[in-house]
Amino acid sequence: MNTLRKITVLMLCTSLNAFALLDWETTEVSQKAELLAESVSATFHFKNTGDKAVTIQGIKTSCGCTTTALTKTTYAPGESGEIVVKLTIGTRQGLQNKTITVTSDDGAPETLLTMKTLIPQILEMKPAFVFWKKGEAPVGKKIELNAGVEALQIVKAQSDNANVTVQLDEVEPGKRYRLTVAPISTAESLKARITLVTDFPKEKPRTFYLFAHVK
Amino acid sequence: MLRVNPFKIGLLLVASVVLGLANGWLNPHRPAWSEEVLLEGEIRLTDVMSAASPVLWVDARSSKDYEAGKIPSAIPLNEDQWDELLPEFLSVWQPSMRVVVYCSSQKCRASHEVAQRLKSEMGLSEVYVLKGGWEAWLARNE
Repeated sequence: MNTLRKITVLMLCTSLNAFALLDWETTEVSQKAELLAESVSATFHFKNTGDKAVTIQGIKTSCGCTTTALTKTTYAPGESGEIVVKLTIGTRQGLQNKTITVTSDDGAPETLLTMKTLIPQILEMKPAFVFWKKGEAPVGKKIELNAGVEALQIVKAQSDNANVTVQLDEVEPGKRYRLTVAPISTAESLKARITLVTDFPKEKPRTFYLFAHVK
Repeated sequence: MLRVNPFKIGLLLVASVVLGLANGWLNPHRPAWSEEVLLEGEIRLTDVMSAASPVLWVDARSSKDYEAGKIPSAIPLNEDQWDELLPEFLSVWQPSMRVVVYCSSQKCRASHEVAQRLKSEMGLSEVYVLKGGWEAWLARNE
């Protein structure tokens, strides 16, 4: 019977030791960034629910665009802490999923934190790349341009390659545009970068880029 | 003399299996992947290597990691240098190619993020993420 008791305790320990000592309030944060914000932050709270100190040994982000801040690395039993994650927005638009991997000596596998940020799209380009195969009819391809702000004027649409033409049409004033891109010929490979100059924001108007290739 | 009841041993084994399954279901730190399960958009190295269509390898790791070692012919494209590296990617890409993006390991997400941007922003359809990433490539002959 003694042996059976030992086996029982051993099995229970094996099953239970996978549970971590760090208890995270949440491992996923979803938020929306302010229009034109340069960065956005999220805070992940945790508590050491075990009976021994836990040391956070490493924090790794999926993108160099995210930085993390931790006030200290070792947490006593019952002590709480937080990791602040900052995403530099740059030219990013739309939904951004960034992950942060936390390793500690609490006996658990790594903890994956997820920061989901919806960055308002100033100008949505669908798609930002068009192509033709060599020999294909050089028919114009349409790119839908949708402003994500109250009003945005595209003041200039220009191709850096004279063999690729662009035509900009306003579908809904200040909101929706249609860009038609066409190569003069598809006999040879070519590539063009198309620049869209806008008037938004007034202080520092944004420029967007599209690409057109003959492959 | 030690006497063991086989029925009780069996009962304990069943109990441990139940506890193990419960742990796997409830534990928030359970492994997010296994060899068998492919996450959305992922492709196994063996499937990439056996496919007939040409592959464009895309390295979504940092420039430092890329310089230290990469899959032969892979080109760099990561979120940190997206605007600078994208034109080169588009120059190399051909319509017949399957794009396979990788990062360091199964745990990194950079490859998924780059693949998602290529699909949603550039309108490309044949874009996959290498299951296991660079580690899977290094382990290919083991």
